[in-house]
Amino acid sequence: MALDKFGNSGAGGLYKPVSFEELSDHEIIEATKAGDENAFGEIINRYKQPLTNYIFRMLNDYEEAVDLAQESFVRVYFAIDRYHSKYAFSTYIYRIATNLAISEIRKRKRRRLLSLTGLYQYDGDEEKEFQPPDENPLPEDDVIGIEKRQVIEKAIVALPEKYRVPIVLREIEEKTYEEIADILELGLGTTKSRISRGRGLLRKKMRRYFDR
Amino acid sequence: MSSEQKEHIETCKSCQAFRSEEKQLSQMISGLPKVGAPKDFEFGFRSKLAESSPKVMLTPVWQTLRYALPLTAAVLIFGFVIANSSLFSVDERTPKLADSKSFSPTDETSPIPELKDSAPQVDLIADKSVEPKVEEAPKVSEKPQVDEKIQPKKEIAESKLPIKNKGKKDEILSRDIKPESDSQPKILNRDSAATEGKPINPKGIQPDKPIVNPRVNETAKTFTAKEVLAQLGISTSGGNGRLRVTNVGNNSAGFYSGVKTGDLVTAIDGEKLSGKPLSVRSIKGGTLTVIRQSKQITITIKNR
Repeated sequence: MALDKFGNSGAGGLYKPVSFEELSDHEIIEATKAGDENAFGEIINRYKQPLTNYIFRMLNDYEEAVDLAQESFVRVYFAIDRYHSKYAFSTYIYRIATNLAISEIRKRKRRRLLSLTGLYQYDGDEEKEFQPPDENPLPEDDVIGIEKRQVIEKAIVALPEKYRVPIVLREIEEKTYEEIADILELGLGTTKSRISRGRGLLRKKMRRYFDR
Repeated sequence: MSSEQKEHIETCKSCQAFRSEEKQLSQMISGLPKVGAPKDFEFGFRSKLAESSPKVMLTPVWQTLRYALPLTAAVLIFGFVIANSSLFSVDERTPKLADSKSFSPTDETSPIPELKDSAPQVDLIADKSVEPKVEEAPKVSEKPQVDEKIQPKKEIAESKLPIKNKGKKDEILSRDIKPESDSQPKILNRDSAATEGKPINPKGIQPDKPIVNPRVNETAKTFTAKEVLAQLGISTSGGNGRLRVTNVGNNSAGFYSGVKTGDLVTAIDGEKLSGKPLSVRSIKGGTLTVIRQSKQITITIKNR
């Protein structure tokens, strides 16, 4: 279903009565390159949810996650001519989102260091507890369950970024090892090793919540 | 999992516990609620798109230039630095010195490449022009190279050798002058500067020809008293300012001037004998001061 037009189709785009839902990512990108700006709307539809969720799990900050997801789409749009079809589009956009998230993580680390020195007044409320308006109903009022969820969320955010990213991609985004290796531009062995190490760190923190 | 791994897990309790924890962890993580994008996500995207500068959208040409321009600048700077360093290298300067006509190799027929090879040694050659003088001087004393200034003193010192070693005196006296020796020019007289090896000759001077002092009619040479007397046919012996006539050649200038055997020559042309080379160029037409029978006689030399 076509979205609203993004202003004038100055690029001379043609309106084709074709459902973009039926097209693959590459075909939609080619249509966008040809000047059809409505095609890019379909790309946004397909990836805005997973990208926002992915960045949120990385930062544990919803507003920042939405902002960075939008930024990812802006960057894809402006670099659409440079996109090469040898990579899957999902790999391409997840890589952009990962880089933006990592930049934000490092920025926050620097802010925390500065706050320790007193040079920067770090507002501890920046990372407040967020209750995402997800459509899936929460489990029954289970205090332990809620507590477990909060602990695991914090444990994931507390992981070093080199373990956090592959864990989130594997466990939350359900990407394959090969896709994760492509997104992070790592070898397959390195990817598996980092996922294993990340799981080990999480296991230590969540040990008391395991059923024995 | 392979069948072996499955069998192992069934028997190994620690691996069972590990596998159980892994499963629970995966369930915890995947059970986290999925976060969705807000409804105004596209609006926010369009706002960001509008705010973004059009320059962000780089044209292919500019994209190429963005990388090509810094690279080109770096290459130009690098080339400029290398070109400047090669222009001011010392090696390029030396051939110019070698090409100068003021310096000529010992072998006049040698081509310029030889000059270039020896060009860096020009200064050494200049110094070497002094060395030959010194090398021969210390034959007796066996001393190392001596500067020009020191050599005259050396000659004085050598002349003061005890009379006991008459033979050596003769050697010293005879060693002082080697008329045709280019290796030992007299330092005091620049005009007689002739060197062996690879000397540096002033402009217009040919190395093989003796240097003629335009102020003097004859070839610039210095003589010992013995040599001067020998020109007159007078053979002498002795030293330290006195030469005793041992023989006077028949029909020689000395014979006709009245020099007799046994005369003790003390001065030539008024210049007292001291063992140094005389400043007299030629004795012809000059005077001899001799002591005969305890009397000092001045003899005028007559040409034959």
